[in-house]
Amino acid sequence: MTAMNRHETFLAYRNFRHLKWASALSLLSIGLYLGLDFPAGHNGGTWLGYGLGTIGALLILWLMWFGMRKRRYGPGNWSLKGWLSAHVYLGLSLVIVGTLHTGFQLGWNIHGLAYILMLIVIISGVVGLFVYVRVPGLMTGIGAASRSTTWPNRSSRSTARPLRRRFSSVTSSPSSCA
Amino acid sequence: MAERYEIAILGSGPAGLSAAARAAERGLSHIVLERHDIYAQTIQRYQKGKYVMATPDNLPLRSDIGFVAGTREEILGIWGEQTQGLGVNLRYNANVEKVEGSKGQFRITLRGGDVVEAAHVVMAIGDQGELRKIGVPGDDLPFVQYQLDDPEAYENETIVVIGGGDSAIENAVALSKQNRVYIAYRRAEWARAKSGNITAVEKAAQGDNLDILFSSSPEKIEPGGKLTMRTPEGSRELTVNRIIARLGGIPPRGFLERCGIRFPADKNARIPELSVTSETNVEGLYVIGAPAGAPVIKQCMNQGYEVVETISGNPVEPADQPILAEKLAGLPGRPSVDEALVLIRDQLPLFDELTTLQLREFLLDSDTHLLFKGEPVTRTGGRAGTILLIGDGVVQLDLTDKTGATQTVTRTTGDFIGDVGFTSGQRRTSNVKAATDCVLIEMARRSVIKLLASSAKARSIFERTIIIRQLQDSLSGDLSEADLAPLIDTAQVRRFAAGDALIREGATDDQNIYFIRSGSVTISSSADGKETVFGVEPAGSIVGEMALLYNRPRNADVTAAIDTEALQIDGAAFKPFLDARPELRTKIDQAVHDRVLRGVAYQQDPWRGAIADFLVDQGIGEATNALLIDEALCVRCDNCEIACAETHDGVARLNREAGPTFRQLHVPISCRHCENPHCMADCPPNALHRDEKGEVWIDQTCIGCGNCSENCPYGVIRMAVPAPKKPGLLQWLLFGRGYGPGEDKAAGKLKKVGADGKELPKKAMKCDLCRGVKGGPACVRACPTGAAIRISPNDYFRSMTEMPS
Repeated sequence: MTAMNRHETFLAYRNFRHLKWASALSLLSIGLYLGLDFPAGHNGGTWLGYGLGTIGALLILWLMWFGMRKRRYGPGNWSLKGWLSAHVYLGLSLVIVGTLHTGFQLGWNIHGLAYILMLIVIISGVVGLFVYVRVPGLMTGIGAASRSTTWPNRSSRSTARPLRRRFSSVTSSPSSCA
Repeated sequence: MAERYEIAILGSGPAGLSAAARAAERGLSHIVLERHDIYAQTIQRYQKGKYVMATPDNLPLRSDIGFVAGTREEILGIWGEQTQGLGVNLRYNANVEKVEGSKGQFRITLRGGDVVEAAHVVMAIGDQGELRKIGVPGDDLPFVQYQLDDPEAYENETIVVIGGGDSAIENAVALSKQNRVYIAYRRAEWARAKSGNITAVEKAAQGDNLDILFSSSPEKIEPGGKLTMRTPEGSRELTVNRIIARLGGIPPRGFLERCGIRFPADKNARIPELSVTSETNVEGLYVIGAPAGAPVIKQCMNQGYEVVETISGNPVEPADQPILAEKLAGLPGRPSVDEALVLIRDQLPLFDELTTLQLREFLLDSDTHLLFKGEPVTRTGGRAGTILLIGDGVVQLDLTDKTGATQTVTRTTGDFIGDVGFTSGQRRTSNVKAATDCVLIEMARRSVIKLLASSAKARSIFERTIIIRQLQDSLSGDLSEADLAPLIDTAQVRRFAAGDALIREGATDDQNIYFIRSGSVTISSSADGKETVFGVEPAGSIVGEMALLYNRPRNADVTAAIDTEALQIDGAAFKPFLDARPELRTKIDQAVHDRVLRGVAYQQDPWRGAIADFLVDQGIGEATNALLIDEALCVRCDNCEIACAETHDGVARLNREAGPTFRQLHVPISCRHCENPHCMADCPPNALHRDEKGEVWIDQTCIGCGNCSENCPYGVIRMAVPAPKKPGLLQWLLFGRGYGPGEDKAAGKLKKVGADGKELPKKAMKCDLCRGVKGGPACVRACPTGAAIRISPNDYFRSMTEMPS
């Protein structure tokens, strides 16, 4: 919508910087996977398999660090929005990196279990992403009337004034919503 | 046989008690004659728990009794104890009727006929004098009172408060909490009260319990609570339980004159002719404290000490002498302090109406600088904090206007630098240097406010200078005072409350042009039946010139978006002025053109106007940096609040959920760092500051009085107890020590009581824009979705007009 151009969503952070990095990582992994041939076929034991596995493991550690980052409020030029953007895109790229690491040799063993658990976590992230993107708009209900509360113990100090009457016509016409 | 003393002191306020304490300490026989049945009556009448400041901070106290900033009760307690300890001879209910005689043999007659004899008399009677009565029939009926001790003592009464000063307003507001209150003032608008009190009473008047009756005065009071008021609409009768008149006191000049004390010829003069030792024309008779022009408690106490020293043959120089000597040491010719004060007075008409003691107090709070030709003028930044007064010499300024063009102008003796910033709060860049050798006086904001409040002449000089500066800033810095004279003659400073119209669409009969000084205005039109907003013009803009220049009726409504002050100039004077200056006309035409283009952008997308109008309604027009949340992005995680609390003593300075929302744009309760901060209007310890980048912050000297919190129209200042420091994050995560992020926010977990069981003192807390914190505002950094931004509203509005729709 117009007039909100100063707000930028985490998905578009720095002109989709982390989408680009994640895409590059994914494409590189796919390129190497397709371009290289190993005598025993692709699996976790080749140097590429180990490489992808290491990258995946480091990604997992880094993705987990988000929980710390989110709760540390100290000074510094960090932006949680940037971190979340990277968390989403690099987290999604983990599907590719992790899967290629297996060489599609999946079985009912401890490795398969780890793989499935990883996918569950990633899917939960996708659900979270969906919630993050979809729910605020639903909660807001674009065009909702103003509301006002104040500091809990200072109910007398309302600073909000009711919306001026003259905009009620605009507010109730859905056609003008972007 | 009358009692006889070496010194008789009239009045037991700070000056009288301090004099008595000195006399007691020196073993001089003395008596303090107090009219009331309690000492320091004026301070006893302060409201319960009032915090009394000990300004000026750098003035040393010279007294045998103590005085530091504290609550009314603490200070009175100390005085009571110490005077008793020293053996001060205090006589209550001693109403002095006359003082006669001469040095060595004064006769003081008390009401009731008692006579006290004294060799010396010290008048320390304060300036309250007798309380002024209403002056209509029935003004002494039992339900009419002239002071109010405890507003909470009355409940469910109908009370009329008469008066428009600070005490009347404070009483009315306090009473309206549990009574039906009318406040009646004889003028058409508030003229004497502090702005904080005006805000408070107007806010209270929006409720059901308080009505303001302007231009109203009592006509008749009859038994049974019948009050007849004279109002603009004719007589009005009210039945009331109580009338409280707060009309100030009758200055004590009459009494002093009856005692033979000579005053200057001017019949309005309040200060008698006094020697440097506070002695009057009657030898042996001294006047100290407020009637001698001492504006603050500490000076009164020092005078009490000094006068007794003088009487006992040991004259001392004033306690502030060494400090002033140091401050004035840089003056050319190395004058003594007294000479320098005379020089300053001669050179600067601004100080004409101040008493010598007021001037001394003023200078204690100021700094003098001596600059040589070519030296740059550096001060604490281009902020609306201090004002430079040119004591002598010429100063050269490079001013940069909005378009980036630089212009060099000069200011001479008596001029100010920084004055426009003082009123509009807007910052601007300029290089300032001395064009000749200069004496500059750097004045603190609060001293200037005090100066303006106490001297009408200073006010008019200051006002005229501001008008000239504003016109020069808006038009051209090359214009001299003489060039501008035709405009200045028609200039009027107008105040508009939010929603008031400056200009009405379609009007043909008004030709006024407005130079917006503070606040902002909305430009809108209802030509096609519904109202459309075309734009928002901030302080510094000119509005109303279009109709005049192009001979058209008004084509838009111009409405004050928030409380706005504007300079109104008559178009009949402006037009010929502009016709004579084609280059200026071109400049104005260009500004009009730009504004029309901006208006077109707004018209293309009515939402822009609606959102701009909403923001302006929320007072964003006077903000320099506001927190705006896009609710279509916000997941309501409150991480912004938690981040704020975690970086600031465990207390969040923003309330994410509170505050109004329009469509998806939400304005949370959080400081906007106003151009002209309301909070800074009345901070007793001067703990509020504004930095170069515009951050308004509170330093450690906050006394927790709550004035700033009351004065803030946006409710962004909290009074709270800082939380204790927490163990590190991993300590909590791994070992469960302390509270996790945001956990201590829950009610009851914040400590309110100290180890000694006493309530911990609350302090004022507000957003400081994470001043000095690397990375900037934590609320924005900690927002995971990009919903929270902090932005200058002007940038925001500009980006709205630039966007393609």
